[in-house]
Amino acid sequence: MTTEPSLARASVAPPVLSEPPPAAAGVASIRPVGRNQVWRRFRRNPLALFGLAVLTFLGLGAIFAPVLAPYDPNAVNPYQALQPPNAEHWLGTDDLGRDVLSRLLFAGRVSLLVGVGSAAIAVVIGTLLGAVAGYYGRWVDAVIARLIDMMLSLPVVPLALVISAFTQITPWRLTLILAAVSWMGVARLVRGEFLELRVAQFTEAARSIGTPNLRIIFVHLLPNAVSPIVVAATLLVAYAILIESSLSFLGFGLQPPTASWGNMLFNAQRYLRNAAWLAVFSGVVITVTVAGINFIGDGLREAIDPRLKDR
Amino acid sequence: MGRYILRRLLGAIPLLLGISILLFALIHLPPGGPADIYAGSPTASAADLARINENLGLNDPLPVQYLKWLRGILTGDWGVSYRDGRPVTTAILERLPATLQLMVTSLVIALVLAVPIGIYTATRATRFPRYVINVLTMLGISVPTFWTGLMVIMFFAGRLGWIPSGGRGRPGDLLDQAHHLLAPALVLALVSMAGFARYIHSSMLEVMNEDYIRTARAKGLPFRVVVWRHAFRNASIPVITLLGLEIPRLFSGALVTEVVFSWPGIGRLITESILGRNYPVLMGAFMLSAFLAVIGNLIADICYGLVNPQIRYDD
Repeated sequence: MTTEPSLARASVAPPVLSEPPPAAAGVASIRPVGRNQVWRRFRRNPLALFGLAVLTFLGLGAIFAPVLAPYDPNAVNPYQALQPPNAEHWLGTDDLGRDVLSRLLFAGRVSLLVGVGSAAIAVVIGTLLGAVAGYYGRWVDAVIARLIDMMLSLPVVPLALVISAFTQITPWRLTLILAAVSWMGVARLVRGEFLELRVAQFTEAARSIGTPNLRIIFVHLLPNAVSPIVVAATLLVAYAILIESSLSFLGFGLQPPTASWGNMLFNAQRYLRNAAWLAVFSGVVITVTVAGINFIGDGLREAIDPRLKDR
Repeated sequence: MGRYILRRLLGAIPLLLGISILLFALIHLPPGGPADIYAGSPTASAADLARINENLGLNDPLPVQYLKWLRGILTGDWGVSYRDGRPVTTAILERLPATLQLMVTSLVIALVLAVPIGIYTATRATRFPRYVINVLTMLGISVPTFWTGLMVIMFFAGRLGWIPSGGRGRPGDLLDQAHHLLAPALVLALVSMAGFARYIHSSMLEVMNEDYIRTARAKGLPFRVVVWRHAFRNASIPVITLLGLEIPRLFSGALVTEVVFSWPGIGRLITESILGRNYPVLMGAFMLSAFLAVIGNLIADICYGLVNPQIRYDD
């Protein structure tokens, strides 16, 4: 074992959230797995399928929100404020008389887009930094590894909170902020993979025939690390949606009238006593979405590496 | 071991220095400043705003500001809160116990519940309970902490009236304080608990397939002994690493929980300091949390070596 456990364990560290460790040896990814095989195993996992169904449902709801929503999500109607769920307003109305169902549908667009967008950016940042660190080693690795350690020592929600409170927040800026505070898991993961891949024989072979470093990184090594990245990316979407909702709930995320699942809860907390449905519905939607994505991620991991499957 | 700890402690210094530069930039670089809250006021002229900035030392170049701050923090002067002129250290120290109490209690709750759950699902549980627990723990890591908190307040404080809806309880009255602590600690513990349980589950599954477990079983050791003494001790090694990373995460959760339950801790101090851009307080609070995280990580690494005999720190 090396003398620096903080580096040595980077390869077996959890990607994001509290996910189970990859195989103790940390070489789970080097075994190639056919795509069909992955899908076939994924298909047999009822929870993963359920997650996929939920996400498809919500995704379609968000995409077709303008068609599906029974009302204008921002139409204020004081005469119908705080109505409990009824035939006209299936999920009731909020304090300004806006239809909750319509708002949830439109909020889904923002929340999902911000979640997916920031996860995508975080994966790109994390993959690039992790790959460069793991491949070049030496001082490059030392610098990037320290940067990862630094960012991992900071609490994500308060940090994102302060940055977004100090900036004029727009959906795009929020996406960037969320990406900026959540790329470390992927970077650690990719770095660990590359530390092993760089000493593989095919890497040496590629190098010996004069392949440029960047080509080795992206064409030869990266495809070998794709599976764990895909799993981590999925879980990152769930994570980003959670953080976005926390920020919006605290009042520093997306600002009204733009509806997001989090800021609907921010409004709802004033009416806990007399309009409980306001707080219940958006919370359920967030939880179901995040759980759905997590189930997909879990299913993907098990499908890619069946050794991790529940035995 | 002593040399290893010393080296890690020395290594923590550049790490904390780097963190402080990063934080200082992130907090000071966004446009605007503390004087902004007076900007709309009819009685505050542009000259007044400029004077405020000058007095707070915000007109210096950023690196100069940073060095001044750094010199202060090294000599025990963490600056003065913009809001009430009190030293930052006072403002933080009076909030720290509440946050630590909340974090430690929920960490203990999370571990005490997660360890048996994770071991049970990985060893004795049959298919159905395992499935149910899998779904429940997944929901546990997916539910937003603030929403659990809201629901708990709505139901147990509002509808049933079993718990107070916020605050820390009367000073000196331990029972009352415990009563106030219970709900926020449980709410904060939920996410960590579910995460730990899942982690311990998969870690145990892996270990239970090892040859030495089969050997231990084959030589007739009771199942309980094999599980706790042979399997769990090995399975807990990666869990310790996870614990080292848990402090910043708990801090995030604590902020949200503190806001929901009006818990007067560091998290609330941060949200209060956002308005009015109370830079010194924000820097202090974040540096403290980073410091705790770095120390937590160090302790985790040391425990890692104590539990895992494969690691020798002195070469």
